[in-house]
Amino acid sequence: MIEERILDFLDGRLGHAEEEELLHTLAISPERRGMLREHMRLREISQNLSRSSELTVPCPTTAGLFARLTEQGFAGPVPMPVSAPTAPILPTMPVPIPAQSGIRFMYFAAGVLVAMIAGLSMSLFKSPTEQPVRFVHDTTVVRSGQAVAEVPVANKASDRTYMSHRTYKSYEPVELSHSQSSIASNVAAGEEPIANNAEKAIVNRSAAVATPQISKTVTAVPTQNSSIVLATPVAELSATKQHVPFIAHDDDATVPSKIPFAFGIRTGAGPVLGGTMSYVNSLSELKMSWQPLSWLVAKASIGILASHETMASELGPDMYSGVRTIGTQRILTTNTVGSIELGLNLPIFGKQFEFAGGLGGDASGVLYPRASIFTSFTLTNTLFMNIGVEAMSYTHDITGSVVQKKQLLAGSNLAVSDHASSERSGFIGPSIEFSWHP
Amino acid sequence: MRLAETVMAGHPKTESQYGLGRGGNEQLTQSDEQLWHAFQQGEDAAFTKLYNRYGDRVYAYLRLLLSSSERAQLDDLFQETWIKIFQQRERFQVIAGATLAGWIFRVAHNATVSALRKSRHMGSLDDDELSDEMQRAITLSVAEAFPDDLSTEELMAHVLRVVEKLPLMLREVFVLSEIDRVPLDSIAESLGITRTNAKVRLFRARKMIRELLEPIMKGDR
Repeated sequence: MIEERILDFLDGRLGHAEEEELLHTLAISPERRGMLREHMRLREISQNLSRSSELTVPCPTTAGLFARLTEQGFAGPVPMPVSAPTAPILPTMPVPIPAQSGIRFMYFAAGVLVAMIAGLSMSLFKSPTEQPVRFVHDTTVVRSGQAVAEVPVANKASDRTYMSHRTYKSYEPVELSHSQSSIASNVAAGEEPIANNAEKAIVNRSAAVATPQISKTVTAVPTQNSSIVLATPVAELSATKQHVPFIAHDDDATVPSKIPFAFGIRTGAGPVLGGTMSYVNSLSELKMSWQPLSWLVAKASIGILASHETMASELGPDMYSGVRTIGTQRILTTNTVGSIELGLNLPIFGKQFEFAGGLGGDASGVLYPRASIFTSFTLTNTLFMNIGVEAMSYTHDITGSVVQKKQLLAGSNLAVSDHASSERSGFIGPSIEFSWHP
Repeated sequence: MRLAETVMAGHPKTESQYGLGRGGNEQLTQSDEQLWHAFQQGEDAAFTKLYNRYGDRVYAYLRLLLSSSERAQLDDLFQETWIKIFQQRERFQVIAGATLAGWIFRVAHNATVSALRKSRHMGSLDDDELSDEMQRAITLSVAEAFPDDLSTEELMAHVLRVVEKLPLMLREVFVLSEIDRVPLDSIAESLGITRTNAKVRLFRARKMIRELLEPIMKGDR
């Protein structure tokens, strides 16, 4: 009897007085409340069952049926196959957006990336030889270190203690570099090696390695209260083999022609734009760069944007009325985004900075304007680390996810809470990129 | 019970009375009866719309009515149902108090019963009780298969299994009501029984399923 009334209650068939009586009964009986919960759960599962792929018409069955109907004179449209949703709303489910420009843009960016790789393989992008190029020559460098002391001359009684401790006024290390192997072609081109690890570099390729010398001697006249101290520890450092980068500026035939392409992996993350600091979005992508001019760089990339987006969410059925409320909450979603960017390389305070801007797109039709500032650090001769700040902003649809949620929960008693129709999202934050210049 | 060959009373019952239903992605600007009327006027696109609205629901109904050994007939029965509906273009009219949904499921019901009677040689269609032995077996299999921490998908699979084990007379009422979201009046109309009878069967089906699933439902809470 009580079970029948519980079911009538769930079906909305109880009168006001009967409902009150039942609710009172439920309030004092945990066992009956358990029964109510079980029936509510069963209803929920049954409604989910209706969306099970096992219970939807297979496409071949529909096709076969309409073929038979056509034989019998049917002249209407054949239903388009629609894949049945088999689970509650998926975070990554694309939302309908009228403009398809984002999709086209993603395909365009992916196409550019493929074209760049194909063009690279066909050697269509070799740089002209007059462009500055980097190359590396292995050479043996003998390094000498010597300390240069400025020798205090004491001429007062109070300086005696000072002298007796042989303390130097200053101690300035100097490193001398000298190339022992032949890099005649580079020398002939008048190129200068870049000094490494030296605060001061003294280079003379044609001379023998200089014998370390005391760089400064002081002629002083000892007096009654003073004496002269000369202390110049000299250390001969062992020879080491180093990669010495050169910059070539001419069209010497010995300078190899270089392909101005780079492949990189970039990841950036930052707080959601317009949101709270507790939500962080990130973008990780594979990137290909083409630098046709020393100051200009073009990039194509494809990657994954992990973003917290406000989407429809079921807040659960009301225990007594059975009404299911659709609200919104931030859900972490992932989208594949293809992008194209153009950048300018400009020197600021003696350091090269790249200012880039571009546009991305994803399969759901969303466009992603983006911008970044990076500077580069050399790790090895071909590997570089770029560090900077990246920003991305986009608008995503909320209403679409609510509509889809309503369709998924069709058949239930539904209530929809207030929500905005769309939302501005994105991120701004630090970004790091490792790029390889083949 | 004969629904055909009567005069349409312009019964403006809309799809919203059944909830959006399955396959309800289209704009619900026309009621079932308006679509049927358009179909009768020669607009075949209206038939496609009705199919979009009821195709999955009829399929689920038939699928759950057939046991695993009878499932080979599913596609044929489904197609037969819709071909019969198509062929009734000239004859079927909706009278006041009746619904197109009720008639569609009645066509499906009749096709199924007819096919099952042939294959089962009558008899078992009228069983609406589970034997104690069968009930124990189902309960045991439920408890053993998913002892703890059931996901929704696992629970759905289990409910499906239990529904398939229900006696046919209870099963079809349960499927029409709980899965296809057909109102009780239309269920009674489809099965040619009284509303009270439909309600009693639905109650017994729900009660039986809850009791069979009780061991895992308690763990699921």
